[in-house]
Amino acid sequence: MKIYELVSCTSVIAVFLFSQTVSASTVDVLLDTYQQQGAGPFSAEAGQLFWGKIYSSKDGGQDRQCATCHSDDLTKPSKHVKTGKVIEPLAPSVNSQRFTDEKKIEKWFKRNCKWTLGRECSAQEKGDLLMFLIKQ
Amino acid sequence: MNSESRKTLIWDLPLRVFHWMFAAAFLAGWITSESDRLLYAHTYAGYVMAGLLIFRLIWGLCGGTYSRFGSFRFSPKQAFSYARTVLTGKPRHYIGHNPAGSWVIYLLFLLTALLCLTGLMVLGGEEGQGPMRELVSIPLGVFFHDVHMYIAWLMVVLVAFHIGGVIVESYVHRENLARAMLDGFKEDSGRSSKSFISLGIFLFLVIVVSLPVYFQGYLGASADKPYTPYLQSALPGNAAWIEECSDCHSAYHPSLLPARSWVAIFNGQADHFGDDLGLDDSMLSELLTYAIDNAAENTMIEFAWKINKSIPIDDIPLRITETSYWVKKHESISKLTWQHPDVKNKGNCAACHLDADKGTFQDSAMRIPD
Repeated sequence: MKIYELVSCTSVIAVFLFSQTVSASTVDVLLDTYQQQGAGPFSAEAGQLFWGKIYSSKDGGQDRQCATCHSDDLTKPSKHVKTGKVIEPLAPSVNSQRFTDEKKIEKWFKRNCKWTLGRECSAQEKGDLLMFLIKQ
Repeated sequence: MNSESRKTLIWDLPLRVFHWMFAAAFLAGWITSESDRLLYAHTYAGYVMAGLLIFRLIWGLCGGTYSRFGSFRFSPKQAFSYARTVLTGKPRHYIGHNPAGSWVIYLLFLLTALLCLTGLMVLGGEEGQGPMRELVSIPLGVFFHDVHMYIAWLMVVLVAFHIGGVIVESYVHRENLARAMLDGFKEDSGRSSKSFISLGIFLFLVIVVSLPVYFQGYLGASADKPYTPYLQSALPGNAAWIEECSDCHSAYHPSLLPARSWVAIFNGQADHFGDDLGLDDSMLSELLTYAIDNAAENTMIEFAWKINKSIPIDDIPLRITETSYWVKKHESISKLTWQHPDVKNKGNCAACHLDADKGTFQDSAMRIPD
């Protein structure tokens, strides 16, 4: 194997590995942040329990839970309960865009926790949820 | 009728073609006037009428004997006294147009000219289309829309006089005037007109050929690729707006609400119809600037102007579906359509408006799903 072949081959592998770590690190960075806020350790099981919890809505309407909009099958598209707008699958196994943007993850945690629970989620709850969701 | 009477050609062929095509075009214009979606066809009827009127005015100078204005030049006084003799007893028999009928024709020509002119003004003002699109503002177009309608109604009254006159005349003089307008002949001793058959056929063919030329866009259209004439270029878009708004619902174009509504919507972002949007300050200011710049009162397009005008000055609607213009425009949509699986929601504009994402909401781009 000539030297330039070796270099190009290694760099391809390096870029591949690097890109893998980048996407994994988005979630890691967030988990670190939550840990610094005093939360942890995080578990996917706790996240799954939290995902399935049902909350009564304050205005006496339909009960609320994550599946109200995301449906029970995270690998399938679902519909926004009020507007009917299609929501792409949340599972990273079928939608590689998910959990790659820190800002987006925080935006949706804030918006959706408030709607579903009537309050923002704690760092512990968010960490558990992330652990559960990235395995889907 | 005296013993000398024989078949005499009164109406030359171009005049007969003009008459029936003109009647057909007016009828087509009348039928298509109520539907926004048929605007393109309505405009065609108007162009045909305008073209035929121009032809008729020229033909009145150089046409067949009885087509020339010179053969039916009567004063209004003559017209009234003739009408009186029809009602009271034995009117004089005119081989061509009688004095009363002549004035109905002159008035029809005048009204047609005004109808076509105001039609072009409405097309230019409200739709931003046609030769007058640069000349007429939206409010002027909206004003002339009413004028256009009144003129059309006046014409219907005149057409009623015309048809009534034909029936009375046919009875009084024992001659079938309607048939004479079909075959051109009357029983009379007068001078025969030239027939101008080739020119008549040519005039007819011009109109026939204009149909597929004008409507050619529909020939290549299909359900997936519908033909949408008068489609305008997209209104100014904004990537952040589309990204943020279409997270949860259609990215309604800011031209659908006035600036004060957008200010209220973004000031109330912590409770946006039940959701806390949680937008940061820089995103908020980008979205708000775009919304205000392109709000209903700042967008020169018919629906934006009409939505804005339909909102009382002290009212700040937070939903497009609350504005009275929206309500009025959608009141004929049946419950069944709203429950259609592709519609479901009043905010789902794109279910029927093919150009919803461009923000143009043209009449021709509207399809109610089957």
